[in-house]
Amino acid sequence: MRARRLAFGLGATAAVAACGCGGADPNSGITAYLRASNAQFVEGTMPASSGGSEPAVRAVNLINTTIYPGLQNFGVSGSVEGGVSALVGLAGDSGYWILPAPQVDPVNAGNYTFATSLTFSPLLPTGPQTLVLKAVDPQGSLGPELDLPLVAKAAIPAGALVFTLTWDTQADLDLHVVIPNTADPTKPIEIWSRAPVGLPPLGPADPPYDTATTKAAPYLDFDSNAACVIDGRRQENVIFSLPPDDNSFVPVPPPSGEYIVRVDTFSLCGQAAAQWEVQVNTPSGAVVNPATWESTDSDTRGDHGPGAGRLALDFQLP
Amino acid sequence: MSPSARGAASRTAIRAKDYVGRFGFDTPIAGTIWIAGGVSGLWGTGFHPGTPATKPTLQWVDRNADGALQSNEITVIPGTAAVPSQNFSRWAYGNDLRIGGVIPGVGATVFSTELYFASNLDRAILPADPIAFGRSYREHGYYFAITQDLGSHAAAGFRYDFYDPDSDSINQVMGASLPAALSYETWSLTAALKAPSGRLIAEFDVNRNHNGRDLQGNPTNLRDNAFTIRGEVSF
Repeated sequence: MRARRLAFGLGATAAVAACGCGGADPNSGITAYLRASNAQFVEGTMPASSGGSEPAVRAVNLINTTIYPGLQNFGVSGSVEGGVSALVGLAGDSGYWILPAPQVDPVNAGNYTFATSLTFSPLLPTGPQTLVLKAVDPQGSLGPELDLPLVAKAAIPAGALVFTLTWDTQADLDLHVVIPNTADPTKPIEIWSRAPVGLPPLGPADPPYDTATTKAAPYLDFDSNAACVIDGRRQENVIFSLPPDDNSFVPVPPPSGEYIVRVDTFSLCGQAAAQWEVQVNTPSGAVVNPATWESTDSDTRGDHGPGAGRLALDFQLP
Repeated sequence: MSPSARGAASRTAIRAKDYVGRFGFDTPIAGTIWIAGGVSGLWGTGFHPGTPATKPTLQWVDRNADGALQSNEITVIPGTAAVPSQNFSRWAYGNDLRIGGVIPGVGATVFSTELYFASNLDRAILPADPIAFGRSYREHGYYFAITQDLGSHAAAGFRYDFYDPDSDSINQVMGASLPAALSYETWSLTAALKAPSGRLIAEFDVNRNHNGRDLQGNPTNLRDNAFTIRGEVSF
């Protein structure tokens, strides 16, 4: 009697797409720059339009036209007139996506709505990108192409002094940067998600800062994964701006003095841990060596206000 | 009940038991031909977890990444009342039949078939939660297979199986709800080399499903055929 049987695969399991088996492309789209949820990936270039004015993509809603490599949950919705689905893709990408448009548009008669969340590859080239949409009617005819310009920004922005926090899991981490206060050295300024602009706090009787002053001040560019609303960016920057090309404002240069960088683990959002790194860069290179650490559940405890977080860097800028 | 079973029951969200039973027979008919079969059933209770109450919150998502607040970047997330957990019934019954015999000089031949119906029992292909979905899932499936020994060192077989995890599934097209199959089918051809210490098995599966989308957005087959070589050793 056979007491035990050990089965082992020989590494020979293979998908076979031949033998005249019709069907949709099983490619997951993982190699494409653009990925869409609840959609079917098709490798190759998008089919050409059939020539008519319908079906047509109407009323596209984008949450933003600025994108970043690795950005997730980028919502896109819209409707197709006289169509049943929409094709969406990035110009020049390795494939495109089929989005069903099954629901009646309650606003525009004869239109059917589609919605998806887009994810951009971490390998997405920076610079101008074009989001291409086409509608498909029940007979399979394609309508005219709708091009929507997007701008893919660099992972680390340019600046006179840039503090960058990056991490590896979908947790909510917050960058806190304490900078010298030239007006009152005894009260340094802390830049973080609830005080994203590096200006001294105003008193009750002080007039508000004007636009030029606000523009010139250092600032936090993004609160990534805020309250566990996952955007996938996993990067926050505090930026001392470079002078703009049009000289529309004069940015505040990084003052000399002590800089303190902390990382507050607001929530791990269900993740076990988050490994993070803090870099400080100028146009001529890194100011100090990067700091790395792994946030765990114990880092989420305690206050998450000003002064919160684990110390990452403390250095003097001459 | 064994101590381990009591421990497992104490860790489940509900203490309700599932009951499984089968009545079967297995008897020779004539010479080397035999027949076996039975009816089986399962009756039990599933669990849908509730959700705790949440407070209303105001959320700011800096969508255009300019660090400044715009009115369209504020979202009110209303509070919700707690939703209690709920149970739901699930059941399945099936019939199975096997007929076997030995062809002199060739080897054993076995024909197998099974037919089953179920409700809210799927835990793998399309996990059934009728509370969240709003209606019960009706599942059914069947298969038939034949295996043939080819001497003492080889065997071959064929199997067809069908499974529909939701007999009431629909697809929406231009606002209209149309019945749409969600079924899975597999045709399998297999061959094996046998030895006292193990087997080498090759299998080709032609899989059919409705997991893909065609150009018009309708469900279609997502290509999923597979060729598998598997080795087994006995010790």
